[in-house]
Amino acid sequence: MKPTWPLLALTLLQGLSVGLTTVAATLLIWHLSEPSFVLACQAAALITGGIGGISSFFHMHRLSAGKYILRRLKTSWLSREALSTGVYTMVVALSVFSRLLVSATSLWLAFSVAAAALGIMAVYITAMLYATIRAMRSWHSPLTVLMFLGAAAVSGISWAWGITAIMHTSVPGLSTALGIVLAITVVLKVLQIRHFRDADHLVMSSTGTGLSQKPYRVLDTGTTKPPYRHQTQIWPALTLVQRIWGYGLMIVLMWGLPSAGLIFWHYSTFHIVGAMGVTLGLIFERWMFFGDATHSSRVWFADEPKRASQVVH
Amino acid sequence: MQLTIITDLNKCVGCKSCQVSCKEHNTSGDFGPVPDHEPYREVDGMWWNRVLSVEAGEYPQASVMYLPKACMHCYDAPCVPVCPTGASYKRQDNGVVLIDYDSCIGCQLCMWACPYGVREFDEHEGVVKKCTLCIDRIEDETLPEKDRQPACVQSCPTHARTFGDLDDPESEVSKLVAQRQGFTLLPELGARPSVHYLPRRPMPHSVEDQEIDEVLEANQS
Repeated sequence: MKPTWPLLALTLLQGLSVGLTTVAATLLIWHLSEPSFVLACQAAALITGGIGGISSFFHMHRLSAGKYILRRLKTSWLSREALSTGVYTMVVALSVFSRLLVSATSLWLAFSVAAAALGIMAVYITAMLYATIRAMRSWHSPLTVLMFLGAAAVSGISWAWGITAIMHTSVPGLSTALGIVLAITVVLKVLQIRHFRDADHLVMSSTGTGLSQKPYRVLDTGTTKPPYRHQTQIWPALTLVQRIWGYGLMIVLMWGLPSAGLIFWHYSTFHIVGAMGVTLGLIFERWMFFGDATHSSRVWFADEPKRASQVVH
Repeated sequence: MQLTIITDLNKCVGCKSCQVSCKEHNTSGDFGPVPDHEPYREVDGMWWNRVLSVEAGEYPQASVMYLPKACMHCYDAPCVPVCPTGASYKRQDNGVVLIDYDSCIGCQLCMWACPYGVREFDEHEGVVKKCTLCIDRIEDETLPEKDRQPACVQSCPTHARTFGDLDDPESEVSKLVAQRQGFTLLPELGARPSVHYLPRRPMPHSVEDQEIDEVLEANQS
């Protein structure tokens, strides 16, 4: 599918915001850090969540019809996403302002916990939007939901880790938590990449067309040309070299740099480098999520890759 | 009632008259290979009906199949429930899947949900468009009865396309599907498309002159 910057910004910044909110709520419940650090995490969550929410407006090509977006809450995950992300951002704002303006600790705690719960729900809903699309064979898997939640956890914890370096403070257990989510997400990502490759073989145009399984060629009629400006569910198939670059940079940035940061944890610079690495790595991860996805209609496009037998030796 | 189009793949010769007549009847916005607002760009315009040419085999045993592909007006159209604004809907009275352009926000989620890739994005108007089964023609009571059918059906020179109600067991389309083992595309994705195709019959064996001579010689000896 064609990756577009509003979708990249919305999904990445929403995940980052929810990750930070969840870290903040956890620290607040267990009294693990200074209130100023928790507030800094929540303020960062509010800013990133707000930018993500604003960028989603650019994905709509007719804003005048935007007022109807909650009409299909019963069936549409996009309607639910608009509602859940909007409510989440408002509750994060309430948690920040309750601390700044009211200074009532119990109210702050209540809003923080509510924001974290709503945020996790919002990420789940966003992930389900993609995972429930049967035609997008690469996304139609529980791995999509798990990876969205994992990405939110990695980005939130790594940013919190970076904020500790900026504020010259330390939070017990944050490095361990980062190591654990990095290990979980690398496993999830490997499984997801494998699922993406399997998705290439899940649909065949020979199904029911009376064609044999012999090699066939979809002839280019001249009216369908990359980058398929009118058919955005399709994106020219990535070459092996492009995939190696995309996934390679993702691995180095998202797991390599933060792992180096965990090894040299006593240097605060490495905390910031690790957080930046995760952020850049997630941009590659999400770009490949969209750009490398296989839609079922790909089989009717002339640039469908020809596949040899997988079992012959 | 479920209105639909049945295409006989034996009769389709790939002339693309259905593709062109569809465009001629429905022209608007980006719906043209060289739209008025950008006439010199690459010829990659919007087509609600695309005739695919699929070549199989190697010479001399090669064959080409033509497959007209437009909206399948599915019973369980996946594009309908995903639409956040209700712009995509399926009519209860005749089963046609339509888009209300006034409610469409152009998010393109329906394009991802459609397994057949037959929805196209009009970047000029910012909405998604697709085959309407020529709803304006089939419901126009000022037209003679014989003209109340989609433009692609009416223009087909080989009469490969048949229009009718698939839910009526006595209709021509129902009989064709039942008698000729009509099939749908990508049934494994569960959309239950109403548009059916009639399968091609096996290609007759071609007899070369040399083979005839060999048989005649064998008989004479």
